[in-house]
Formats: sequence, C-alpha cells, structure tokens
Amino acid sequence: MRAPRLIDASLACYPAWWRDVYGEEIRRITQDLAADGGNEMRLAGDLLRGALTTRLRGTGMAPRPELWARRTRVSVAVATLPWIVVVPFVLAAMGGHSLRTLSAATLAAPATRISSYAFEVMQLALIVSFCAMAAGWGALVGGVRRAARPHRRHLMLLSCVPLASFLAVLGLFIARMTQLPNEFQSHGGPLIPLDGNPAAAHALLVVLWFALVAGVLASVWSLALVTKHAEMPMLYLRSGKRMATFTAIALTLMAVSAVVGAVAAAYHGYPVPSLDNFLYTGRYASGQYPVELPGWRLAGVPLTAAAVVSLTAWRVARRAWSTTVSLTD
Amino acid sequence: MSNRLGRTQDPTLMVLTSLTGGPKHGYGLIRDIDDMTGITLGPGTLYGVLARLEEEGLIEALAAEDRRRPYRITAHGAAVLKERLEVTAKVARIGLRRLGAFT
Repeated sequence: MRAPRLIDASLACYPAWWRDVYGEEIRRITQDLAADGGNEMRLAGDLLRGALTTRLRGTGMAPRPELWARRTRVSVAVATLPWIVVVPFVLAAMGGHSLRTLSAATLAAPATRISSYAFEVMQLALIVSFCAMAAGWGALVGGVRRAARPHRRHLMLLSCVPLASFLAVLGLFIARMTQLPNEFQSHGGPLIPLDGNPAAAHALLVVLWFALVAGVLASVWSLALVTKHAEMPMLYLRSGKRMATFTAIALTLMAVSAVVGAVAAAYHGYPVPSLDNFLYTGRYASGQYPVELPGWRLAGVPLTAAAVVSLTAWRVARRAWSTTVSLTD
Repeated sequence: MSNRLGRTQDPTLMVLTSLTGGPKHGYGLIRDIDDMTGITLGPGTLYGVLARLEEEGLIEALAAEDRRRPYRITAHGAAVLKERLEVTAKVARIGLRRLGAFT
C-alpha cells in the first residue's frame, strides 16, 4: 500500500542520512497508523515537526567528519543567504526622501532623533555587512578552489554567479545615472529637464529591479549548491562559521533598527540627515530639510524573519562546527 | 484532563517504560504507550525520541523483521529509567499526600 502523498512530502523533509536509517520503518508505521484510522493531516504535521527538530538538532547523525562538515556548510549557508534575500527589501525601503519644513521642536523631538539613529545604524550595518559578505565570498571561492571534488570546475563557475549578478546590477545602475537629468527649467509649473533622458532612465530602473531580483534568486541558488557540495578544507569552513556569526549579528542589528524606526515613525519621527552631510550640502534652501521616508515595515518584516532564520542556523553551525572539529581531531 | 496533562508528559520516559516489557518496534511502542497512558505518540515524535535514546546508548536496535526494527532497552537505559522513576514516584507520593491534606 502506498503511503499518502502528504505523508510522503513530510518524510521528504527529513535529512537524507536520517531517511537512510529510519525512512523505511517510519513509512511502514505511518501506513499502519493510517490504516487504523489515524488522521493523515495530524500524522503529516507530526512528521514535519519531527523533520524540523531533526534538522536543527542533528539527533541520530552518524559520527562521521564528512557528514558533520557538510552539516556545518549547509547551516552556514542558511545563516548567511538570508542577507542576500533581504537586500532588495532594504534598498527599496531606504529609497524615498522629500523636502520638509521642520520646526526646531520637531527636529529636537526624541522620535526624530531615534528615527535618525535607527536609519544611520541600518545604513551602516548594510554597508559593513556588504563588505563582509564580499570578503566571505572571496573565502568561499578560495575554499572551492581547494575543494576535493571531481566537478570542482562547475562549482567554481556557480560560485561566480553572485559576482556576475552584482556587476550586472552595478552596470545598470551606472547606465541609469548617466540618463538622469541634472539640469531643469521651471516656468512656475512642473520642472522640465534640459538634459538626460528621463524615459530611458525609467526603463533602466525597471530593468535594474528585475536584474536585482533575478540576481538575488540566482545567487542564493548557486551559493546553496556550492556550499552543499564543495568539500572544502577546515580552514575555509572556519571562515564560513565566522561569516555566519557576523551575518546573524548584522541582520539582528538591522531588524532591531527597522523595528525601532517603525515605532518612532508611529510618533511622527522621520530620519533627518545632518545638514553637514555632503550629499545635501548647499542643495536646499534654509529652513527646509531633506527628510528620509524609509518603508520601515517593508524592511522590518523580512529583516525580522531573516534575523530569526540566521540566528537559528548560526547556533546549528556553531554546534556542527565543534562536533566536526572533535571528530577530525 | 488526560489530554492537557499529555502535553506535559515526557515521551522519553514513556518509551523507556514501554521497552521494559520487552523489545518492540515503532508501531508496537505507539500502541503500548496508548494503552498505558491514553496518549498516542506521532511517528515523528516517536522516532525523534528513539534516535536520541539510541545515540545516548539507552536503547539498541535489533535486526529488522519485515521492514520493522525492534528496539530493546540496554542495561544503562534500565539504570537511568530506574533512577528517573524513583524520583517521579517520590514526587507522586508527596503530591498525593499533600493533595489528601488539601481535600
């Protein structure tokens, strides 16, 4: 008798090494329980919960170094890849700004100051973590180059997908910048651009966002494959574990900033960049302030989810790493 | 009441206690625990416990019979269970005595 499809799907969520040991037995039991009138949804739910617990704890995993090294690599990937996924959300959330005439009281209000600090922290965490991710990617490529796999060349090609995606997005960004108008003419009505090509700039912006989303998906897919299959030396595995720690901290910091910013926004606090910021110097008339309008919720929800996933995977990676080291010694 | 208490029951204790009656495979364990306590363990919960107990050396798997591996409690497992049950029995005795005074 064939086990119901839902139960098959739940069983497929268990790690392969677990299915090798217990897969047949558990399939037989679920068949027996279903034949006794057991609720299929309940059985599948219990199996899903069991699969999640097994993946998190690694209970019953054979004490073989290569298995634990692979577990370390996979958990490092799960801890770091959410950073790539949330980047488009954070960039979209940080995009908008406008001119406002603000009173001294509004500028000095705690909500405004807290919001400004939260915005600065998020920007800083994004920039620093971008640099760290670039360094981590370099270490990954180094590890893949020294990995003992027959199809190392394919893994090397796959590991270059994030760089290719980044260069494509950067190229589109620069191309758009060249098409943006710099000089305008005004006759009391709407501003008329005197140079550039606004239509081309708009089209490039659409293409840029498509490229960004496609690049994120392709990068996540390729890096997941590479980290799963490249049996890299211990030195590179340790770098990966450090990257997982750093990413978990950075994502948590960004998530907390987004939540704090959202709370401050509820009290009408908007980030106001300091007036000596080189981006704004001399651009605006006195009394007017460039106010950032971040989509705190747009960034906050995915950032919080990513931080939870990253922190959980980082804990798994830490334990898997220490087991790998003890088995290797 | 049994359902509410069931969530606080330790499946590890139930599995070890069931195995003191002789080796059993997964389905036999689920049925025996159901008879003992009225709680039906799900297969995911049961095999999570079995994998952990096997890893800790408290139980061992025997040769498979018709795609089913029976499990047996080890001497170490029996000692650990005895210790746990003595503590549980002591708590139960004190609790029942205090409940008697309460009612």
